[in-house]
Amino acid sequence: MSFKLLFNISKALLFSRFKQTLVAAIGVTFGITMFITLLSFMNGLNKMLDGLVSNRTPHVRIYNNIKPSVVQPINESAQFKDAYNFISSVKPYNTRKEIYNVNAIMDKLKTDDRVLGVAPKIAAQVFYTLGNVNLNGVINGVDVDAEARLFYFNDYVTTGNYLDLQNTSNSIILGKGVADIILAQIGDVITVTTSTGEQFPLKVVGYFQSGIADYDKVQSYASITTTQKLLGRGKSYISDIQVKLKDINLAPVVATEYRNIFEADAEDIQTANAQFETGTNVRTIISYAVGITLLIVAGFGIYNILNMLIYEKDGYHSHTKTNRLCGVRCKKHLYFHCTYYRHLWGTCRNGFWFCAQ
Amino acid sequence: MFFVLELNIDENDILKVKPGQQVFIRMDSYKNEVFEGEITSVDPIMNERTRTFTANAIFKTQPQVLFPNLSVEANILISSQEKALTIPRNYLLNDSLVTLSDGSKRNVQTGLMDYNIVEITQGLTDNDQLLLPKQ
Repeated sequence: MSFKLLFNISKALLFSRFKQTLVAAIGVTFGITMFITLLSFMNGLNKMLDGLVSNRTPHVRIYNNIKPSVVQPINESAQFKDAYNFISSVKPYNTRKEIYNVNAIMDKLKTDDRVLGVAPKIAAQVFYTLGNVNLNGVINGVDVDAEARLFYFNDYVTTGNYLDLQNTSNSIILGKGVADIILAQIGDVITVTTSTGEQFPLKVVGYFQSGIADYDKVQSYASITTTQKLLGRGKSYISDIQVKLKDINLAPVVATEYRNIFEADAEDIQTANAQFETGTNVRTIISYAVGITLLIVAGFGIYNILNMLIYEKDGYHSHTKTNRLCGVRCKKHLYFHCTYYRHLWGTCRNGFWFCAQ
Repeated sequence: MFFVLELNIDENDILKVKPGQQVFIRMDSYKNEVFEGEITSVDPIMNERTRTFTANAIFKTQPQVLFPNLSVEANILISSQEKALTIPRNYLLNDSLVTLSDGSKRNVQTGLMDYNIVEITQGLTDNDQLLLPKQ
C-alpha cells in the first residue's frame, strides 16, 4: 500500500464531507470526555470513602482484648499437663483495660525505625447527661498534637479550634450528632456521667464531624489528662496505642512482633478493615468495565455510520472506467482509514487521560 | 514533721516489692532533685477499683519543706547485677533460644530484661557470636 496515496484519499474524503466528519469527531470526543469524567469521579469518591476510614485508623493498634486464656491453668499444672482435660464454662480472663508498662512500650516504639509516629488513646464510656436524660456515648482521650499530625484529627474538627482541647482544661470536642441532639453550642458546659456514677462538667470547644452519622452521634474527644481525671485513674492509664508506620504493608508483620514482645493484643489495619480493600477493587473494576463497554458500543455505532458514508461515496466512482478494480481497493483503503483515524483519535484522548492521572 | 510516702504498686508487680528495698523519689515540688528512701511496709489490702496496692516508704534524708498530699514519682530497686552479659532483645527467640553464628540454636537462661536488652545468666560467653533470627 502506498501510504501517500492512502493519506491523500482519506484526507480528501474526510474533508469533502466535513460536517459529517465533524459530527463523528464531536461524538467520539464527547464519549471519551464523559468516560474520563466518570472514572475520575469514581476514583475520587473511592479515595474519599477510603480516606474516611484509613485516615482515622492506625496501622497497628495495641490494646487489651477481653478473651479467655489460650492455655487454661489445668493444662499447665504438673499433675494434669499430659492429660486431656475437658474444661467447660471457660470465662474470659482479663481484668484490666489499660496497657501494662505503657510508657516503656511507647519509648520502645519511638525508637523503632519502621514507625512514623505513636499516638496514645483512652476510650471512656460515658453518658451525656441532659437533665434526667442520659445519652450513651464514648469519650476518646487523645494526645492532640500526635492525633492531628498522624491521623488528620484537625481535618474533621469542623467548628472551633482543635488546639483548644489541650489549652483549655476540662474541655471536650463533641460529635456533631451529639451536639445536635443535646443542643450544645461552642462555649457551653455540658455534664457527663461516667460508668462509676460520677458527674463531670466539660466545656464544649468544638464539633467533630466524620460524615458517618452513627459515629458522630456517639463519639467525642477530650485530652488524655481530662479523660484520666474522668475515669479517676493515674497518668499511666492508657487503653490503646495507635501506631502509624512508614510503610503500611509492613503492618501485619509488625503487629505479630508487637503481640509477642509487649504481651498485649495488636491489630493491623488490613485485618481490621479487610472489607474496604475489597470494596475499592470491586468499584474500580465496575467503573472501568462500564466505561470501556460504553466506548466500544459507541465505537461500533460510529464505525457503522462511517461504513454507510463509504458506500455512499463509493457510488461516485461507479461512473469512471477504472471503477471495478479501484472500487474494491478504494473500499479497503477507506475502511482502513476511517477506522484508523477513529482509533487514533480515541487513543490520543486516552493518552491525555492517562497522563492526567 | 515526719512524712510517709504512699506509693501505688500495680498488681502485676506487687510480688517484687519487699520492705527494705531502696527507693528513688522525684516530686513535682522539687523538680530537679532525686531523693533516696526505703520501703517500710506493703499494705496487703488492694484498692479494688484501681487494682493497686499501697507501699509505704520513708525518706533517707527528708527535704526541708513538705506538705501532705504532694505528688510523688518513685522507682523501686528490685534487683541489681554487676558485670551482666546482655544481648539485644530481638536476638532472643521465645524468651529462651538464641541462634549462634553457625546456625544452631541454643537454650539460654535469662535474668533481667526489658524491651531492648536481655541479661543472659547461663548459656553464652563473651566470645559467642549470634545471628538475628528470621521473622
